[in-house]
Formats: sequence, C-alpha cells, structure tokens
Amino acid sequence: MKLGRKSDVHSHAAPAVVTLEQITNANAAAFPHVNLIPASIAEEGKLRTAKLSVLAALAVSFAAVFGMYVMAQGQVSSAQEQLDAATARSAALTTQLLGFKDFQSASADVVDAQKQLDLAMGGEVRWSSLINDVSLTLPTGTALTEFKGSVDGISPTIKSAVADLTAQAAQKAAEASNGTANGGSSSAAAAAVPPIVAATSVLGNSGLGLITYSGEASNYAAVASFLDVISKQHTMLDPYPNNVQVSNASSSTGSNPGLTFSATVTINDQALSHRFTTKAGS
Amino acid sequence: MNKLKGAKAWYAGAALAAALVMMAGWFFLISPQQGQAAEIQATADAKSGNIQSLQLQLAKLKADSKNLPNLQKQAAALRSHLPSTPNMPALLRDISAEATASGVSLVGVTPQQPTRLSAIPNQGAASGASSLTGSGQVNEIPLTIQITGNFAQVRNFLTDIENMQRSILLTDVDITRADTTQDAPGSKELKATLSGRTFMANVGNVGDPLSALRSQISGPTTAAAN
Repeated sequence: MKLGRKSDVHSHAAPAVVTLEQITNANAAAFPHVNLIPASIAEEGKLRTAKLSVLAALAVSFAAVFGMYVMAQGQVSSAQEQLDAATARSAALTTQLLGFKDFQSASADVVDAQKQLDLAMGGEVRWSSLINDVSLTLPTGTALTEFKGSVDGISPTIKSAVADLTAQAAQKAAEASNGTANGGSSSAAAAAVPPIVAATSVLGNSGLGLITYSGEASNYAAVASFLDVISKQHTMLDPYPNNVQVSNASSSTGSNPGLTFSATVTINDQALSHRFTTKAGS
Repeated sequence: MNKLKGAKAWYAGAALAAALVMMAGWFFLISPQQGQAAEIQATADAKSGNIQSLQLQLAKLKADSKNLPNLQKQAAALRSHLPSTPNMPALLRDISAEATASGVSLVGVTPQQPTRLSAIPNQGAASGASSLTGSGQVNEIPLTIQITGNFAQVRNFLTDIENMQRSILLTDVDITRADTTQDAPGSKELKATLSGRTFMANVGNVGDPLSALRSQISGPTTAAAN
C-alpha cells in the first residue's frame, strides 16, 4: 500500500508524493547491511538444520519403505485371493469330475483290456483260413496226408518293442567296443535281450512260423503245381520241397505207384488276423 | 568452519541413512513380499491352466458319458475274452459244445498250469517268475486239444475255436489223415492235435510289459553315466 504524504504543506509548488517504499530503499542504500549474528551461532543453526535433515530423510525413507511394503502386501493379498479362487474352482471341477468316475473307470477298463488282448492274441493266425485256402487250391492229382503248422504267437507289439531294445543293446555293445562305455555292462545289456526266434525260410526270409505239408501226388508235375499254388498264396513265403519219392503203397490219388512228398513253407506277417491289435492312437 | 564441515557430514549422513533404510527395507521387507507375491501368482496361474484343462476334460466327459452303457458293454465283452480266473469248467463246456456243433469227436483236452505270459521276455525278473497276481498282468494256460473228424468238421471246429468268446491262441496245428497211421485205412477221417494257449488277465493297467527287460538294458547305461 502506498501512503501519500505531503512533503511540504506550505509549499505553493506542485505537491510531491514520496512513497514509504522509496524511503525504505533510500535507507537501505544509505545504510550498510550488517549481520550482527555471531558466526558460531549461524553455524550452529546450519548444523541444527543439517541434523533435522537427517531426521527428515529418515522419516521420508521410512515412509517410502512403508508405502512400498504396503503395496507389496497388496500384491501378495491379491495373488493369494486369485490362488484361493483358483483352488476353489479346481476343487469344484475335480468334484464334478468325480461324478464321472464310472465313465472314467469303464474307459480305462476298455483301454486296459484292449492292451491285454493285444499282448495275448496279437500274434493270432487263423488256421481255419489257412487250411481252407489250401483245400480250395489243391491241384488235381495231389492229396495231403499231413498238415503241420507252427507259429510263435507273439504279438507284433511285443516284437516291435523287443526289436527296439535289441537295437539299443546293439548300440551299447558297439559303444563298448569303441571304448565309450563300460564293456561289461554293455555285454550284459546285449545279453539281456533274448532273441525272438522267428521262422526263417530257405531263402533267409523271416516269418511267423512254418507249415510242413506231407502228401501224395500222381506225378512230379502235380507236386510242382502244388508248390506253385502255395507260392501264390499271399500268406505264404518261399515254399520248398523237402522230398518227393516214389511210393509203392496204394495212394489216394488213384495212381499206383504214386509219389509221396513233403514241402515246407514260411508263414508271413500277412497271415496275422489283426483282430485284437490295438491301433496306434486309439 | 568445523561446524560447517559437520553440517555437510550430517547431510551426507542423512543421504546415507536414507539410502540404507531404503535398501534394508527393499531387501528385508519389500523384495521378500514381492517374491512371495510372484510365487503365489505363479501358483495361481498354474492352477488356472489346470482349471482350463479340467474344464475341457469335464466338457468331454459330459459329452462322452452318454455312451457309458455301451462302454460298459464293450468292457465286459473284452473281459470275457480274458477272464481274471482260469474258469476251466466254462472253458471245457465251451470246447465240448463247439466240438458237438462242428461234429468232431473230442478226444482230449489237456490244460497245463497257468504261467505268466511266455511271449514277454524276461518278465520274471520284475516280480517273481511264478507270481500271477500283478495288476493288469496277463497269464497264459497252455492247452492241447485232440479231435478226430473229416476235413469239413475239423475246419469248422477250428473256426469255432477261433471265434469263441474266451480267447484261445492256437500256435501249433497238426492234422493227419487217419489211414496213414493204420487207424482207419481208406477212410477220410483226420486226427488233429491243436496246441496253443488260453489266457487269464488281472484287472488293472498293463503298464509296460517289457519294463523288466528295459530296465536291464537301461540300467547299465545309468550306471555307466554315473
């Protein structure tokens, strides 16, 4: 606020207005500023301020830590709430799943029984089909006196798994021979896999088993025809005559003297019925 | 002058103290809390994933469960192939009935003692060779059947045996014309000896039937690796 004051009330000149501010400024310019507070006291003040700043800094940092702690607690609580909700939901779903126990049990039972049936019957060959095929294709001038067949009956599932293990054992044995593994252990591993003895044909082809036919024929051409017929059957492999010889006994083929013969054939994988084989992924 | 230096030291101390409080607070209070929160959150997320899986499973079960009666029938049918006991009376009745139906003369049925499935190598090492009680274990009963009849009868009997509800796996078939053995000269009578096995299986998961063999193979590997 400016205070107006007449400097000279009796003057006839134009009145001059001097403000208090002007007076103060004039005084400040006129008088030197003198700090009368002793330096030691001023320094003590500064020291006190510094000490207070420690307290302030501590207070602020405690407050900050507390604030962040509260936030972290909030995060924990929030996560815990989510976990509780998820646990409750999971428990509820599990309870609902238990309601389908019968169905799950029946499903598992079906799967288990199919696997068991595959292990037990996977190697089945239908002999009725094999002898029927022979009877329908038996050439004129031949008759069978004996049909003797044998198969291993081992499920292809087991054979395949054993083949894998055999390969592993062989690899270990090879590593042992290269000095990269314990030789004793590897030879033990190799010995652990028993070979599944598959039937082998005269040409070295492996199969499920062998059939030996014994019979009578009117002549050698009939025996040859019989071998031709057998070789055309998709379930048979490499038929081979064991012997063909003249027989003095009366034969059922009407010729006397006729021939007796025997032949061996290997049964191949196509003879498997696959009625009980578990399909991959089923 | 010294007091001024002291003030500066106090300021430095204040900064240091504040930093120490913040660090201590971070390491001893906030960080563990955040770690705990992250851990709980991870568990919750995993549970959520599990919930999704359960929901899918539940939806599938709800849809599939309509098929329960059929599934139970299927399980019962499969189990009838491999009963859990030898059930020899029923087996003898079935074989005799099939012989009568096909017209062959049933000369003999010779079952042997049940044993573990011989097709699985080295399984005796797992739980005792003579044990027949393992969960899901398949056991076999070796069996020989002797019949006589003409060709059609023998073939029909073979077909019937193969189609029996109780599974019989024939591994050896020896069919001989009877007159070759002087039994019935000139006749078309055949003698057949059928060897094979029938089975019994315990309810349960089969697991890995080659586990014993597999452990024999992989065991040395582990030992060598160690």
